[in-house]
Amino acid sequence: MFLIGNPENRRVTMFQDALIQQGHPPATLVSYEDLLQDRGLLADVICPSMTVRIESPGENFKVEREMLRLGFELAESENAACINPLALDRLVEDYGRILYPRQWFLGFSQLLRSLRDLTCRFMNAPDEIVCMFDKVETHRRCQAASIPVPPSLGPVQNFEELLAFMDAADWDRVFTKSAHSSSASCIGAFYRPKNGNMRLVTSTEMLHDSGELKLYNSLNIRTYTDASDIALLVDEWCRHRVHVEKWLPKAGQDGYPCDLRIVVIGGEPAHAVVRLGLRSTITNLHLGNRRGDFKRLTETMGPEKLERVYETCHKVARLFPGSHVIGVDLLFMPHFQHHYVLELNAFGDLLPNLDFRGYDTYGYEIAKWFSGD
Amino acid sequence: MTFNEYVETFAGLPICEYQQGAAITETDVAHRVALRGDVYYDDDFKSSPEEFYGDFFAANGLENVKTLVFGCWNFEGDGSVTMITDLLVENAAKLPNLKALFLGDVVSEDCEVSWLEMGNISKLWAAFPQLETFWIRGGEGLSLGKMGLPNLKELVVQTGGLSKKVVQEVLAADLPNLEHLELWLGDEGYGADTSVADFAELFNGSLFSKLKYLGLCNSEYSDELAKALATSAIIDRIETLDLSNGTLGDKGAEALLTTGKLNNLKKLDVHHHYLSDESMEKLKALPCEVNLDDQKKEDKYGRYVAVSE
Repeated sequence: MFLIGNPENRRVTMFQDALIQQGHPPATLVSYEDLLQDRGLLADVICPSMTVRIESPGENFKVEREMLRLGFELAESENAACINPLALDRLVEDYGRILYPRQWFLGFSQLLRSLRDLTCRFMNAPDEIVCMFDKVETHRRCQAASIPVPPSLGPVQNFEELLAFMDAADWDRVFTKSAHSSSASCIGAFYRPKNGNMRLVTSTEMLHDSGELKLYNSLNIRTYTDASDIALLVDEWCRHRVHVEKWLPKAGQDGYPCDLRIVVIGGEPAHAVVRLGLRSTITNLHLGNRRGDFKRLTETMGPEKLERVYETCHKVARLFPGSHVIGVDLLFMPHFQHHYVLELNAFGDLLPNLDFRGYDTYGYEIAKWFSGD
Repeated sequence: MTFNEYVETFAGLPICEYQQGAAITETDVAHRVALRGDVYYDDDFKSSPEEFYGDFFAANGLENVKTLVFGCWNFEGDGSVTMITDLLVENAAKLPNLKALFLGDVVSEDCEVSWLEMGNISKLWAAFPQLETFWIRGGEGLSLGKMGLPNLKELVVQTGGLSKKVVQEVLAADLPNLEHLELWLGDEGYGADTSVADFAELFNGSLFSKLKYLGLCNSEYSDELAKALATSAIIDRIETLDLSNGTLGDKGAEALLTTGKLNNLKKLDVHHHYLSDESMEKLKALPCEVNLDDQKKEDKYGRYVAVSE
């Protein structure tokens, strides 16, 4: 097996451990750093029977920079906000800094496309990873396949356009999401009442540094209430492509709004984790939130509704047949009457201490992969 | 945290759910007319909040209603509290005995408190001059207007973010018999724009001569409130001080402990607080009853009020 990833990252070490635990030799590591330097690296060593697992390229500054470098030309030709190679050379690691998500995505998709033609068994098909990293495209495909998703306004160019679209749709609440980010990066819950002040809840922090606006992911969720700040932030997000959905009320557990992540492995809904939004409607676990109780959630929901959720997971799996692992994020309307797919995560299996049939996520992926499913 | 449970009693009376189409015969109950979230969101529900609440006012026996609780009026941004207040005002003649009214017995699964659409409800006062108890939940766009109720004893406004405007309206209101005043101040990110200074007139004792219970709850500046109250004239008058669901810490506790002006106080309610164990022990030693439940620990991002969203 080949594993494309960042060798120092725990996703890689945890997967290797899981392989060894099940009596398999560890995978041959191919670092993103090496692969970005030489995209033909794998072509020489690959053969049709080999498995290639593509892991997340995140949490590595050098890799991020090279991914941006790779995406520069396309970003420029698109007139997207971009950073040129010279400026990239001068970049210093700045923890939490959000750097040109659209350009990054263009780089990452180029890299994945260069792998596409390899004759091997991909655990997660490169094309499908590209799709899942584009929320606009994911939403479109799910909707076309009758998978329930929240109503969307589609991509907006700037804050003014957002307000105009909201007026036209008669919505006063939306979720704005960066089309290409993950882990709550560049997500905003925006409320604009007919009489009253607007507000934007987000974990993004703005910093003005010598005339440049810099965005950071913070671990703290804050509420912006100043209209010019909100406009500035939304405009900046829009420069890197934004997907807008109706902000729906969420069902809760213990009085906190919640959502559900189900890891679909080999087409089967496996590990599940309930995430509670302790201080706001944004539920990502690293933002001071915590896991809820899945068993209790299923009891509250009842078997009929749970069955419908699993049906949706199966539909998602059929829509992405080349993806052995898909992290499906689901939202429930109050009283669990209806559910919607919020997002699909190609690398949505980093969920430590979560058990399904005696396996953690990586263990189950490996068990199912080698059992011939 | 948020509102998770419907009230079981209101104005001292047990809740009795209004059944659509039924005549109203009981007088000594709190009639609750509520469109619940699980009903609204059910696929079989083909009606609307307007129809649901409108139906109540066509019932027989409305003259038997002394105490009334209304549930949720908007679920997906589709209506405001004025839908209910307009219905009440139009039908005031049918409710001559209404003395206690609660608008908004709503739990988060119906609608989050900051999502509740409010409005100007001032037409209620002329229509129901006999009101003795009035509760309202929800702060977005709320206005009480020029408020005057000669018999009102209890006023409770529960919000995740109370505006300065409403505080001013309350303090300017003509409520000569007010005994219980409770305001949930809320979170700045949800419309709260008040500060201690806004309560100067209340604290100097010039308002509400019959006040016995003062609640300034769910506040981001509970410590400042405690400090100001500790040396205020109003603290000599009241019997219960309620600073619960907020951010009270050791500084606020210190002010209350050293003031020497708590002799008239029978109860101090500070549940949901950020007090140290030490402060809690000191407060327990006060002669009055003290509620110290739900101790919170501050994290690096600060203290949080109980109800915001």
